[in-house]
Amino acid sequence: MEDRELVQRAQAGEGEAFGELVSRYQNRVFHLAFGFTRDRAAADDLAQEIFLKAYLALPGFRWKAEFSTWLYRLAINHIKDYLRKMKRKELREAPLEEARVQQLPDDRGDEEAEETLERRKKLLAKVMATLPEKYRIVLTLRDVEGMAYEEIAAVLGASLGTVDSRLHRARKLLREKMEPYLIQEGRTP
Amino acid sequence: MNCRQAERWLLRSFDNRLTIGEREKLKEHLQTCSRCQRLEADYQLLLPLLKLDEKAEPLPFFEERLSRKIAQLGRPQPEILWQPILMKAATIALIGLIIITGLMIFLLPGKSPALSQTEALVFQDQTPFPEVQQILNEGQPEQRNLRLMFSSLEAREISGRHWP
Repeated sequence: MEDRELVQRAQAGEGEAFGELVSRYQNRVFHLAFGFTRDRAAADDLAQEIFLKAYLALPGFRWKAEFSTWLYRLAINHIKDYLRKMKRKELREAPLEEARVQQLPDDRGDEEAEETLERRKKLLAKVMATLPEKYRIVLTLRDVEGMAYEEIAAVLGASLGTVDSRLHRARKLLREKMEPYLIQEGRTP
Repeated sequence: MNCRQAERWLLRSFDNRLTIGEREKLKEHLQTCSRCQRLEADYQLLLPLLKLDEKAEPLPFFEERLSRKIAQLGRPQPEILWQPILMKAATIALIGLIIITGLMIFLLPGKSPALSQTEALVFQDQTPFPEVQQILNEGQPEQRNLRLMFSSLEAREISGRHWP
C-alpha cells in the first residue's frame, strides 16, 4: 500500500494504518536518531517521541511535501531540541576532555582491528559532537545516513547550494579538529 | 587550480558530484600536490568512520511500546478544515487594525487645544496680572513690597481662609 493511502487512513483515525507507517519508517527514524546520539537507548527514546509527535501532528499534514520528508523534518527538529538540551547539560558537566587526551589508535593486527575501528569511531563521534549544530546535521544526513543532496535540501528546507557549501565546511572543520590525532598517529603535519 | 578549489572538488568527488572534466583536473592536481594528497588520505580515513553499523536497530517491542503510549494519548483531534483559514483571517484583521490605527494617528488633523484665558493673554503679549504689573512698576522698593504684601492678604481673605 502507498504511503498516501496509509496517511489518509491514519488521518481518518485508523490506528492500524498508523501502525503500518511506524513499522515502515521505524528503522530509518531510529537510525537517524542513532546517528546523532550514538546511544541505542537514547535513540530508541527519541524515535518513540518522534512517532508520538507525528501521530499528534498527522491530522495537520497537508502533503506540501512527501510523508517521508515531513517525518524526517519533524525528526530533525526533535533531535535538534534534544541536542540543545544535551549541550546545556554537557556544559554543566565536563566536556570533551576525554577526547582530547585520547589518541587515534594504531592498527596492531587483525585481532585488534575491530577494536581499533570502534575506538576510532567513538573518538570521531566525540569530535563530531563539538561541531556547530548546522554542520553536525548536514554531516549526519549525508555521511552517516547517506542521504542524497536533494533529499537533504528538502528535509532542511534549504537550497542545493546551501547543502553543498555547508557540507564542505562541515567536513573541513571535522578534519581540522581531527588533525592533531592524525598527526599523533604518524601523519606528517 | 589552487589547493582551495582542489579541496572543494575533492570533497565533491566523494559524492560523485564532479563532471568528467573536473575529475581529470583534480586528478592532475593531486598528482603534483603533496598537501592535497594528504588531505585526500585524511578524508578517506575519516569519512567512512562516520558510517553506522547497519545492524543497529530499535530496542525490542518498539511498536508495542509505542502503541501503548498512543493509547494513553487517545485519538488526536482532527484539525478542522476552517481552523487554519480562521487563523489566517484573524492575523490579517489584526494587521489591518494596526495599520488603520496608525494611519488615523498620523494622517488625521489633530484638534488644536483651546487656550486658557491666561494662555491667551500671554499669547497676545499681555500680562495676565495687570494689578501685579502695576505694583511692580512702582518706583520705590519699600512701597512696592508693602503693596505686594497687602494685596496677597486681600486675596487670601477673599478665599475665606481664617487669618489671625
